Amino acid sequence: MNVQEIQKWQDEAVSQVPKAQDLAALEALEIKYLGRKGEIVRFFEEMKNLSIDDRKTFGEMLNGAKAAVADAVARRRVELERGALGKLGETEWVDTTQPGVRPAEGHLHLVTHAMREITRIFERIGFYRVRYPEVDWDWYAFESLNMPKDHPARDEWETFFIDAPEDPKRGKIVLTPHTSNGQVREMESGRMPIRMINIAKCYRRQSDVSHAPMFHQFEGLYIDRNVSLAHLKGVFDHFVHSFFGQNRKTRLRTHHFRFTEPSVELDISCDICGGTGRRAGGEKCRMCKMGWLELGGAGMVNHNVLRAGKIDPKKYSGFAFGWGVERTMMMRSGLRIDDIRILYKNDLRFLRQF
Amino acid sequence: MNIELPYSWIKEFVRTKLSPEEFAARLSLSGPSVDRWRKMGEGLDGVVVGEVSAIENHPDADRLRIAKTRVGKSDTTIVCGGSNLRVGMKVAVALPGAAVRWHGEGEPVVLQKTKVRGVVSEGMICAANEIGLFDAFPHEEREILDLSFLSVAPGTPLAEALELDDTIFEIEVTSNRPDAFCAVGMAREAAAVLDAPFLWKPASPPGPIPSDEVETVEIQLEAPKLCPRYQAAVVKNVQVKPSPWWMQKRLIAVGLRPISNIVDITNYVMLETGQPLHAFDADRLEKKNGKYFLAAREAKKGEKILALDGKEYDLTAGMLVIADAKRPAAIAGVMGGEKTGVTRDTTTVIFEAATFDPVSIRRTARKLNLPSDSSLRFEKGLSTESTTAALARAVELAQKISGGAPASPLYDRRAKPYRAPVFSWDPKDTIRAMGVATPVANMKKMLQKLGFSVRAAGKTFKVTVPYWRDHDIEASQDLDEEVARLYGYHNIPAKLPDSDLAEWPDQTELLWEDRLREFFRGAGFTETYSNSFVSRDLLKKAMWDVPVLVVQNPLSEDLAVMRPSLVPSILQVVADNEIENPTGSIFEAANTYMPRKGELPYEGLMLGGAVWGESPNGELFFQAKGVIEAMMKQWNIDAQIKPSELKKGQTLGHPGRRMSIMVDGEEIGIVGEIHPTVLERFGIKHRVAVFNFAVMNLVSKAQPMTYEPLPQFPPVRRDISFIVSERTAYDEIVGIMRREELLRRFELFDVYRGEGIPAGQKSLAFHLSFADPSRTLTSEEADRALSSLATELKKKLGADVREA
Repeated sequence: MNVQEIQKWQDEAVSQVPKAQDLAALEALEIKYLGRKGEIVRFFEEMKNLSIDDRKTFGEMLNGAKAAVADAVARRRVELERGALGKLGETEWVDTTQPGVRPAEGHLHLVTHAMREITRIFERIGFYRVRYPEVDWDWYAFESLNMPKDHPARDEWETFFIDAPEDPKRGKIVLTPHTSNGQVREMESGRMPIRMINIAKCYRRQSDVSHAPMFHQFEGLYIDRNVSLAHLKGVFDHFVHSFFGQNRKTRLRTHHFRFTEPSVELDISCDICGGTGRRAGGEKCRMCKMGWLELGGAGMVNHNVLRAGKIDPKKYSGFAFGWGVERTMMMRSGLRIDDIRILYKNDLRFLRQF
Repeated sequence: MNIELPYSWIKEFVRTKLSPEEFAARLSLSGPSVDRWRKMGEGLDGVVVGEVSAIENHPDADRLRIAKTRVGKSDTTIVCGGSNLRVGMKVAVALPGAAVRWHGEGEPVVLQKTKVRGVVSEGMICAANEIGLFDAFPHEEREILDLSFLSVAPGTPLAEALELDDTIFEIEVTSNRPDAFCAVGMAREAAAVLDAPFLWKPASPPGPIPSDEVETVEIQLEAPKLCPRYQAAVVKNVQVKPSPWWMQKRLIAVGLRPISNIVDITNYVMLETGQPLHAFDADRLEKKNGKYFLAAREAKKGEKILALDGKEYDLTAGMLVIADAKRPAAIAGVMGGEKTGVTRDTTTVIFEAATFDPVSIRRTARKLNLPSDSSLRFEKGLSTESTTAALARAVELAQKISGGAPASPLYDRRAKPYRAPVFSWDPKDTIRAMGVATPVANMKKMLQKLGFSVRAAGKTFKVTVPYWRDHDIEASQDLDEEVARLYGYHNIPAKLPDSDLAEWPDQTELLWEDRLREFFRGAGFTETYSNSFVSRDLLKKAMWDVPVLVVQNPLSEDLAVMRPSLVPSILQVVADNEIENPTGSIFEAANTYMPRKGELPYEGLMLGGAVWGESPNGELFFQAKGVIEAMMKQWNIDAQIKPSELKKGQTLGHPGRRMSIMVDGEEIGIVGEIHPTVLERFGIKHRVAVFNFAVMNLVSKAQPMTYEPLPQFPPVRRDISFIVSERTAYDEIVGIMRREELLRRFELFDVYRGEGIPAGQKSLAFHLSFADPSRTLTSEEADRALSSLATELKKKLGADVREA
């Protein structure tokens, strides 16, 4: 055995292996060169006759040759296998443009989607969700909210009343026209601080493209020491940036509600004209009021409401807001629903789009 | 409530040089917000004043003429069909390029030089309705606008000639601020917001009148609560005619139609000062003892009045009227009477300026379905102190534009002396509400700019409310708003809440509602939201006969009661969708309502749903049951689905395909198919299975998640199939299987009837899995267990075991 002999063997093997035409031929070559009785074994056996030093030299060389051949075999095997599988595309052809097999597809209502998203946004800043009756005493719906007996909202053409006897203290039973009945109820729970989000069905005697007699509101109430308009602005900005996008601007505008003082209307910049009030061509934007869209009402909780909830206005202050879920959702760009009532028609062709 | 006001009118009372756009933006940030604005002369570009110098007949058209019209230095030739065209007349000429509406209809069309029946026309002589001025200058068909009253040179742009180069703002005024619902009030707000001079001076009452010429008006306040103040003044020798253009122009700008100078004065003063007025024709009032007599009293039973809108109204007790010696002459604060109103022949006028109770006015206007500009203002609550200036102004204007002469002082009756509200104010409270500190001196100045007077009282202040704010300022907290808005909400920094977290747990009902919604969505159900209100008819169709919560004032019969169950609504949804969707699955989570005596109604969260399609072998029932079973398994809910009797009043279920969902022996829900007769009433052609349960009752039985160790030793699997009688319940078979100790799992995988199986019998096949938790089971042991099971099935159920 000498160096040339080993090299020659290796060269021959490495040149023969790639010529194997199929896996069987490759197998045969592998056995011939590297098998238990293969040629390489013969070389190793001959090593017994060598001196210690030569054994080391030849040992290394033989291992190298063996590895080179094994590598050639492995590479050829991959080539042959791939070749065989190459036909798989033909033998197991399917029409991949056919529709997939879909699992049963369920859909949540658009209002559920909106309520979840709104909840998540407020939960991130430490608000918790509550629920209070939809059918409630006048006391919680109006009287405790600083709405005098003769307030227009309490007339029967604005609010639905239940045909039931009046309670001497708590008044008539009404379908809550807003989620604000949760304010005094939450205050009565005795916990402090209050950071509640109350999302519920509300009812008003209106029905047109932008009003459904049943709709949803979300009410926020934050009461603690030293709560201020600055916090209202902070929370409002957080909501608008999360729900409508970072690029939207906000504005507080003087308004009037009985249960808050100061009261404000919260506006967001119009996404159609970018808050400028004018379209690209210079004409006035028809979607907004001079660049602004009304989102809803808010304000600092009226002291009379705090008192009704047994909270001392000298110690605590708070803000509250109440916005329509549907309106807020419909204001988001992209979703152009022009009649709110479609939400409650339950046409599956509509519901299955969400 | 929105008001339209021309910028020029506001600027009469506040000095500012801001552009309309800047003014609108600044005002909106701190005061009433400007929703929109528009240029008044918009659309009059290219329309000029022309003077007709000669007229010829059109050679080919009888009704057309050719008018030589001067519109500058030279004459133009215009073909015109105007019936009132004459030489020397001043007319509105639309030159090529101007936009006009043909006959006042449709979209504006841009005019071009054109031939009319062969004659070149270099423009158009317009009728008022063709250039949007019909309200200002009403006319007959084919009548062109006669501008001969103008003294401008031909060629002057019409907008300039009519002084229409103004901006109209549409401003939202909140319902608590009727004082700002007028030009003066708006200017007062603007002066405070812009820190600009406020220029309004109240009109002076008429000077002394020789005593022998004074006309007396006796005023009686018979209902002082409903009318706390009444003022009146007599003006004689008035000449009723159209008002001057400057007045008409402003009325038109805000959407009011000019009528006659006297009527226009009442409207003009209302728009200027916010105080509604009324004008009586003094000679048409019934006198008392030879004197004018006006009483503010409640209407008497059976009284009627023919109002200025030409309709007769039945008055009822509680409605306030202004009556002369004999009969109602006006529905107070709402509308005047036709018989005592101002006409062309009126020569003596009594102007009224009064204060009425807001609630009474609102209810009266609503009851009579007669809202007016006047009632709109009164129902918001006006100060008793705003009558004098308005009445004086009316008298002043009557002198100026109708040639009238004051014939009385301003008569005045009031229920009680006026006391301005005073509140104590601690600036620290305002700083706390704003969340930002500002010097007390600044805050004081802001209040003063708004008309409040502020004087020190120890460490705090006493603040006197100006009369025009005596309704809306109710407490010292209201002063926070005045300061905060003038400070500017935009100047307050935004801060997230930085105090203690409110670590209260979410309400469990809300958590479950959300989990269950997600579960049903995942199971392929589509969520619906149906109305909480339903009709009695719907409940009847669904044979749902239980006490219900009735809405006292429903919008319609379709929305008459609060639903006691979701099932009828769900069936309606199926009925509505069935044509487009022959199969489907829906669910809804919502409250249902049940009346309770002396308490709020019971209001509970229910979850209901339906699957529909074909169901020859109860397939739909099993689908509905399956989803409930899966849900119960998901949360380890310890409830049972058991057969039960139909409940009284809820008999819509299919008697053979219905089960109850039971918790602690009580039915808290149902799952089952609907009786075909009920489906027929809904017009549903397919079969429907529903489920419906009380969410909190069910989930109260959810057991905590537990962990079962994975088996250490492999199971031995066997199958068994056997024939039993058709009516042998699965539950009975399961009972027997559960008693076989080594049998760990079993699963029904086939139910077969038909060929090879005797009639009235069915073949069932189960996968079985035997195991022992402590050791590996031998094949022999498993076979022994299997054969003992087979023996039990034979013994207990007479099963014919085919294969084991």
